[in-house]
Amino acid sequence: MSIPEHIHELFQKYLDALASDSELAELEHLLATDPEVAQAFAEMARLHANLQDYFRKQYKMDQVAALLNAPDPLQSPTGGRPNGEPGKPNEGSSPLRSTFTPRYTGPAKASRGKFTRQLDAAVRKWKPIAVAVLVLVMGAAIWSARNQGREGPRLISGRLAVAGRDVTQVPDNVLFDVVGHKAAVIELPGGARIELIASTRAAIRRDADQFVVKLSSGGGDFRVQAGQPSFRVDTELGVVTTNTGQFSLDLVTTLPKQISPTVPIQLPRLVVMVAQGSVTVEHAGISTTLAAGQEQVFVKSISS
Amino acid sequence: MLKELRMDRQEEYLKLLFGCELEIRAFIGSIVRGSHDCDDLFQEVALTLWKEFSRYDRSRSFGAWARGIASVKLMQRYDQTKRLPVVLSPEAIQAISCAFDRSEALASRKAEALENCLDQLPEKSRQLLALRYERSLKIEQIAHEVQATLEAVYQSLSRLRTRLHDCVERRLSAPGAA
Repeated sequence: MSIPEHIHELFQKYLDALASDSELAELEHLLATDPEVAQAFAEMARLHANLQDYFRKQYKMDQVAALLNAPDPLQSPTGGRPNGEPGKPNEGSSPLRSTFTPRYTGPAKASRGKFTRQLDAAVRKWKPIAVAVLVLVMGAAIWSARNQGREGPRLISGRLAVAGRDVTQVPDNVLFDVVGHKAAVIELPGGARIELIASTRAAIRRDADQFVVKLSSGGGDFRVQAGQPSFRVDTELGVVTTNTGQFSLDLVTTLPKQISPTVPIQLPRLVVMVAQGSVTVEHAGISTTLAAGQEQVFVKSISS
Repeated sequence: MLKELRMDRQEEYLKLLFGCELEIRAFIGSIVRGSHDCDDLFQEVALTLWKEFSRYDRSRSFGAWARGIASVKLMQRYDQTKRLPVVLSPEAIQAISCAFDRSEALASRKAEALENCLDQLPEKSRQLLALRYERSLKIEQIAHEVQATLEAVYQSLSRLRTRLHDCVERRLSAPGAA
């Protein structure tokens, strides 16, 4: 089966959603009329699906491996991985490790009772573990006391990545991307909720008594209820603030890279839709308040 | 007794469905735009397959039967929406379904061969594929992420897929591969 190069290119463009309307029509005609083309297309589509399946499985395996490789502080009270062979004492340089090293106690040992020796051995075995647990508990208590009232946003569902690497917590004031197909749901201390759609890029920080979301692209739904800290979303095309409200944003900051005569061009714009409460938008030096049920599109002014 | 029979039927159905889930998804994914729509359609098809399972002729391939039902769903959706999310015409859908049927026997071996071929790729190439297939980024998003042009990303991915396709074919046609 020999398929011309340009037909292969049609398959590739189609699978990457880059085919123009005329290319789509050509592909459709070829598929419907030439079984060899349909066969080659099916092979390429199968490869595409197998790649998706492989990389998604790989991602899950990496996640599991990361969990398994996470250090367990209780298992290694010396703070490091045991470097000795199984069943042999460690020969590392850590001073704490000496607790595990058998000591020569001389003839006195023989005169001590069996119970005392057993107790001594148990104390030697468990003392470092107990110390490590105590240190951990104290550390956690101090950390918790220091951070009381200053806890950060929580990732409820969805996936976030920072510089291409998945993260399990919402980073403080660092740009992250919502990866995967699903939206990322983030809960802010106080109960405000944000649902960012896939491919959104944003950062969240606390500014005095206010949460600030820096939205670089994408959008989502934002819900702030009465009594919760006020809320602000900074975007290239305007600043959105609310004390109580539920609203959605859709931000496009760049012009499309490919222009098709049949597809309307989407200019850089910020769409604000208010479902509940009210929202104020500062755009090009003008402040606009939108009430529930209102929607407004803010476009980039020519001068900016 | 009835309950046991029902459990056996469910078990058989699930075994068959999981056995060719990837093939059904590949077929739907080749015709439907957007992963959410693909998932929705797959679920719809899986539900219909279960409802119609008593009529499934066990002398036929389950995959072919499932694709037949999926084709009908896709054509119905095409008629309702005219284009999105189903982007190909009923004639093209039919042709692709037949093509999948013809090559179904080799599907699982191709998936295995692909894993071996992927192991041979340089890390950089794997990273590019991971952006596309693990994170499901569009070409323009990848271009933005790796700071390259859309054309360069498309060409690299296109070359990689061709290389992997050729590698899979070579592995399957190698002596002793059968």
